[in-house]
Amino acid sequence: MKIITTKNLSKEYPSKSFSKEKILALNNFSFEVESGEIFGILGPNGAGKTTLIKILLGITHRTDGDIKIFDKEISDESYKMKIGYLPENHKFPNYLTGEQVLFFFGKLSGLTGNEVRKRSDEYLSLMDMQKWRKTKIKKYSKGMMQRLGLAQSLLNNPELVFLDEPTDGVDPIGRKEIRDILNNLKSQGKTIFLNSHLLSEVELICDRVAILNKGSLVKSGRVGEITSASNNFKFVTSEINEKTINDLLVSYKAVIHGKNEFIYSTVNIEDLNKLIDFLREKKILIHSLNREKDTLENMFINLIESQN
Amino acid sequence: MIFLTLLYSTFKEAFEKKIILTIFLLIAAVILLFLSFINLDSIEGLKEMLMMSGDESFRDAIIKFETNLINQFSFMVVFCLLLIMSASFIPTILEKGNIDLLLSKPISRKKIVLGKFISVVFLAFIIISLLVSVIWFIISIKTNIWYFPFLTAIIWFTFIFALMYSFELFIGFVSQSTILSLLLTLFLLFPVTALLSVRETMVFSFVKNETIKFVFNFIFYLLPKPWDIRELCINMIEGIAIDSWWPVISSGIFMLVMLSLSVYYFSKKDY
Repeated sequence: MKIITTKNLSKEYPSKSFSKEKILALNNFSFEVESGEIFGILGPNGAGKTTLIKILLGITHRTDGDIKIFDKEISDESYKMKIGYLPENHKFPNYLTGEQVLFFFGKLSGLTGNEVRKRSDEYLSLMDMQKWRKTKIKKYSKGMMQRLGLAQSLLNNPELVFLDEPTDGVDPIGRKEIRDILNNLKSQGKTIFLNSHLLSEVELICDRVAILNKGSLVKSGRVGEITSASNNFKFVTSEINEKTINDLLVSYKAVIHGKNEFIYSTVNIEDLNKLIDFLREKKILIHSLNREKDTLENMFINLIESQN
Repeated sequence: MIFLTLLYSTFKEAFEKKIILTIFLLIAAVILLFLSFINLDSIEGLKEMLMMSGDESFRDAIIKFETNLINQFSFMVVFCLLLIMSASFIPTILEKGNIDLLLSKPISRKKIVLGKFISVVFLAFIIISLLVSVIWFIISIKTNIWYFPFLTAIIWFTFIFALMYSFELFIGFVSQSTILSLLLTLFLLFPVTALLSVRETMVFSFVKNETIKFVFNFIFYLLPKPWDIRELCINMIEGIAIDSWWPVISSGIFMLVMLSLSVYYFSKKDY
């Protein structure tokens, strides 16, 4: 079942200078998010990721295109009852305590006082924030603010959660905990829409990603598909003498990383076996041989650089 | 439900930013000053003298005394304080990171504007009620004249605040600046509407040009009329017949226009 569907979504901002030229933040962007998946949106700064999230949440108005969330037009505010949102650099009123923040935003989400209190207990415990609940948030660290923000976004038990840089400012242990929470939410059938600069993190938790550049969709698909295996084979061997290194460079175009490590690129598996025979002939022991895989980060950087 | 939540947040903000504390300290100072004033021997003597000239003239003098308390100066001081108190509410909710969260909740933008407006006006109503009723109570205890129509000033002053705040709210939405919305609203209260209210009795004795007079009259009809409503309030308290309700009606229209413009602007704006 599709939770979010957009079709030819566009957003133009008026130029801040005196020229009549408009800034195109999103250009005919179409995508779908399936129920129960963790969907990642990637792109360099200014690609239009936050604009996209804001349009989906009705914070910014689209210039053109269609959006359906839970099969409803977003002009119908009722869909917001079923969503949670953690904005990037969120700012809660700093005179409130953690508990009061949850109470205020929980009530705005349409929860009753009792529901808010019960769920606040639950989520503050989950975020390991119980002992800070009565402390004013002006005393909170960045990581604590993120945890509180995440608790706030989950308070109304949403079916769809938008998270804009949820691990920003959180230490590695906290990041792992947040990843576990997101995976737990996924196992409960929740849909998560994630925007994060930490591509290694996206790779770890997202089912599908879409890559945006200059407002346009560049690539989308399952993480496993778009980070497909490369044609690079990494050899770790016993020490190779100078003459053999020279042969590897000239005859096999290998990239030498040291006296016992090199990369060989080929699409032909017979060539690979010929190289192995060659090494055996030279009495060189192969300690390990691995086919390298493109990380999401490598793929992302190559893609964006080729686009620009 | 949503209105109650916005009311809670407005009161909480006013309390935590020590706005309520400051206002109450100022009110306490005014009341203490007032108490020391009415305990002076000369006032006691004046009271004795008025009582000797008959119950009715004493009562009239007390009513006059009460209405004199809401003279131009105290009126301006109270409204300046209330407008200073309320100026930051809208720019605060429009801060980046806060407005995103608010707009992601299942509340229409219209309800946010109206909820915030009603909350702030209600807060002002409580402050005005306290100020007026305490002063009235002290005078009544002291003189044993319990003149209830004086309390209608609470309603009129709240109405005047609401119409000035509707302007401050609109400027707050457009400029997102506390200082600008406060300065423009204070400028509207004084000198603009103050001068317009005395345009026939004072300004036109210096201005002879008909075009300028027309411009003055035109602006007068467009803008709210807080000073005229204050006069109307005093007349009502003193039991003087009201000639025209036009200042109330036209100011009410101004307030509705300001609120509609705020809702329209806020609904169209991207955050």
